[in-house]
Amino acid sequence: MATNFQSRTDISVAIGSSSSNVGLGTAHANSDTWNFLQVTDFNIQHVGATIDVGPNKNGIYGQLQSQGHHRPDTMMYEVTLTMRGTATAVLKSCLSLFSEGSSAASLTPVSSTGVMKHGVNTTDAVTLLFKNGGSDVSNISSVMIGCFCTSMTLREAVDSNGGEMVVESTFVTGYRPIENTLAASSEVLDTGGVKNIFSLTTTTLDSVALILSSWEINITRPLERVHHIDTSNFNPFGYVQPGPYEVTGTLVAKRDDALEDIADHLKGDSTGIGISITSGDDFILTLPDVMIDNSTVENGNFMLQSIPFRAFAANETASIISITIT
Amino acid sequence: MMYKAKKSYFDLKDSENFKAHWSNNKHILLMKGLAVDITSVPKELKQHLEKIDIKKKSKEGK
Repeated sequence: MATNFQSRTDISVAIGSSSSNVGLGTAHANSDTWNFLQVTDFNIQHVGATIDVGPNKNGIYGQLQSQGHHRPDTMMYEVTLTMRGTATAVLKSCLSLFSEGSSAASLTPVSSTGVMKHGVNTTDAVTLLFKNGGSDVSNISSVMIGCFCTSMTLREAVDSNGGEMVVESTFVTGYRPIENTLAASSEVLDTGGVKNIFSLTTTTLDSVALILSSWEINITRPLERVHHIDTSNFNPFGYVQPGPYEVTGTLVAKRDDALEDIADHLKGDSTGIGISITSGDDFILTLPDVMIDNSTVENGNFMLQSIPFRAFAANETASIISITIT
Repeated sequence: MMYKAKKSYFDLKDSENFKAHWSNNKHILLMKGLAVDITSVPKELKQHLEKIDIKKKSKEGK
C-alpha cells in the first residue's frame, strides 16, 4: 500500500522556455529558463485516454469488451493557470499565445506561433513544470511538453483580490503528460510587482474618461492536434490553428455623463474606437479599434454600465491589442 | 518607443535578431519594414534599430 500523498499547497508551477530553438515535442532542459510564477490556482493533467464504443450486436443487451477502443490519438491535455498579474505572467502567456514574449506585446492579424510541427524548432512552445506534482514518490515532477497557450484573460476589479490584476491562461498539449525528476537548475522566481486597478491613471473609451469598477480582456484562439505519428506514444504530428485570434472584453463603468459622450457608439455605428487603460509607464493597454457589443445597465445600489466589446485591427499589420508591461 | 529596423537588422541570424529575445512577432513586423513598439530594446539590438518619432497607432489622444 502506497503511503505517500500530495499536498496541493506544496506544488509550485513553472513555465520553461528558451530563447534558442527547441524542437516541438522536446522538453526544455533543466538549464533553460524556468519562471516560477505567482500561481494562485491550477489544475494538473495525468496521461489518459477516452473510450470509443463500437456498435452493439443485435440480440444482446450488454456491451462486449471487444467494443471498447481507447483513443489516445485524440487527446488534448489542457491546464489553466490563475496567476497574480505580473509582467512575467502576462509575457510568458503572450509568448506561447501569439509569439510575443517581450513588451510591448502587440497582437496583429499577422501574429502567429508559426509552424507547429513535431520536431520543428520553435521558441514559442513552452514546457509546464509542476514541481511536487508527480504522484510517484521519486518522480516528483509532473511535466507537460509542447504546450501552447490558447487563451489569456486579464482582469481587475475594485471589489476582488484587493484590486490586483489576475491573469488566467490556458495551455494545451497533444503530448502525454509525464512524471519524472525534471528540475530547474536555476529557479527564476517571479517577484515582479502585481498590477492593480487602484493604480490606473487613465481609462478612456474613444478618448472619453470612464470610472471603471472592473475590466476584463480575453484573447483566445482555437488549436487542434494533428493525428498521431505512431501508436507507441501517440505524439501528434503537430497542431493547426483553424480560426483567428479573438479579442473581447468588458468594461464596467460608473453610469454618468461620459455615457452620453459615447452614445453613438453604444447605439451601434460599426466604427472602431479606442480603449486605453494605463497605469503610468509600467502598464499600458491599448486597443485602437473596438466596437461595443450590446452594452447594458447593471442595476446595483449605484448604477453601472457594462460595456462589452470586440477588438479589431485597422489593417493587416495594425495592432488589435498592445500590452506594455514592465 | 517606436522603432524600425536598420539595414543591418535584416542580415542578423535568428540567434541574434528578435527571435532570440522571445519576440518572433516583432521580428516579422520589423522585417516587413514596419514600426514596432519596444519598451526596452535589448542592448545587442540597439545598433540595428532606429528610433522613430511617431505616436503609437492608437485613436486615443486624437
